[in-house]
Amino acid sequence: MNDNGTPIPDSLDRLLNAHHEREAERYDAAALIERIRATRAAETPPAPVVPRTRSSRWTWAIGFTTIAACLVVAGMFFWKTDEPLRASPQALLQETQKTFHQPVYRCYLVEVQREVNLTDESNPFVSQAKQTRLWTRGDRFWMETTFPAFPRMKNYWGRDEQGTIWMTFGPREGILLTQAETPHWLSVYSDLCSMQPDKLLSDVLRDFDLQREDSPTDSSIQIIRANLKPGRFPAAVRSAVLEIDTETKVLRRLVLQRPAGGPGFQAPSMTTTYTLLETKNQDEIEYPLDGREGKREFYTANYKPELRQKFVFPLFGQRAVEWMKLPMKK
Amino acid sequence: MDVSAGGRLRCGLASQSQSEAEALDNWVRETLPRAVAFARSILRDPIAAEDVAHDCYCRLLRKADIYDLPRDGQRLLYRSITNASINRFQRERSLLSLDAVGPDGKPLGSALLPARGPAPDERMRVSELEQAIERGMANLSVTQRAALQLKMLDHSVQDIADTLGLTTTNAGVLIHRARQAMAAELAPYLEEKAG
Repeated sequence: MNDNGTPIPDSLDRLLNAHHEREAERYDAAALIERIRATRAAETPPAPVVPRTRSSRWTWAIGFTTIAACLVVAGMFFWKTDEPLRASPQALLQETQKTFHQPVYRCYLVEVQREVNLTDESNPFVSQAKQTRLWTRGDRFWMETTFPAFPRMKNYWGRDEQGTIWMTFGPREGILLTQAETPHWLSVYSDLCSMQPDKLLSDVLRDFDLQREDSPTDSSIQIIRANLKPGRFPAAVRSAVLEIDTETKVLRRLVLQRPAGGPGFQAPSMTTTYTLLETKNQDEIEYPLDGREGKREFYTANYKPELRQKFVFPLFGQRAVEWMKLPMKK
Repeated sequence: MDVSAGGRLRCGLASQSQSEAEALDNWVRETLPRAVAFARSILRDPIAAEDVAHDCYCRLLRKADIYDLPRDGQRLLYRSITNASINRFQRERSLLSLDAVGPDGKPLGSALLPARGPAPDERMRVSELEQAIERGMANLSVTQRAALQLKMLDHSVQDIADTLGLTTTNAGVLIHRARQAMAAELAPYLEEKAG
């Protein structure tokens, strides 16, 4: 019986059980069984503990002291002072993390690559955007996108805390799309392009195995490859390659590989590359929405919706027609 | 004489450990699909569900010398998966997973597929009923989903309460509300006979 006095039929459990069974039957467990076996095989049993006698403890202590002394002496002879001391990948990433708290804006070129071609109409942003640049400072970010439809205009867009997508067209006009109106592909694309570097590096430090890769000679760039530790979260990104300037500790380039295609679902894997283009001080650039109150008109579903369509249709084509319909005139 | 006895003993131990390993392997093979489906229904993200199942199996297998997994493992497994899934779900996710399920019940990555829509076999697979079940599950809270799934798997209310760290009364209310919500979503598919 539910709160309205309507009884809950028995058949509910049958439906849910049958659904669960179908889901289990569809699941191909072979790959996961292999993964579990591989993890188990990698977990080597600990070496047996041998109780140490008083004399062996002394032997161990003397041996350790001798080796340590030899290493110090050898280090004094062979260490070349003209060679820079290389920090561990972890230490370098921690230093890089600090640079994201500096009061500067950094601009990254964003390139999204898929396994399949980019000419289909699945995502108008991917197929039509000429170039996307991401400006980031701390948690604040916005995109700068150039479209062939508006070659002379710089289009800025971003997403606020409420999930509203805003886009500007020139100095006086813009459009707003509330979270409920935003099409699925646009939400996904803005998630793909946006990067919260501070959080990202925290995830990488915690959940990834870090390995230094060969860097170009006479370069201050260090390349770190991060591979997801077995069985670790987040599975959203399987690997990352980070190029860091060892002098400024700034992240110069980042390549994120996102796998896709779970059981019963096939989708192209995505590689997103962020390349640092320029850095500007706070007084050299302003957030596109700052200082624009009263100067820019934002068209919404309720305020001049026909003008909003005027901007959206050339950008997104047929999909925009499907997703944004003008309200019926009474 | 001693040597042959020792040899027989070693052979005996080896065959015993081999049969134990086979039993554990069979246990994993038999329970895994349902366990992953269970984690998936709570997390609504197939990749995250696999990760959780992988971790929980590895954790239990590490303790295979303490527990009799083929006999008692199922209950431990579901308890472990429930807690790991809820932890995982509530943990902040800063990176987009293309396999996470969106509000429309489809993986987020499907938004990047060609606009032609899902393949015919996929359309057949995702029937209206299944879509309604997915929609209903998506509207439940993560603990409601876990409680409902455990109830379906014949766990007692007391056991569900223990797993979720609730009182028996609260667990009962949680299950009842979850069933109510699902009954409302699936009303067109339910037979009228009440329980």
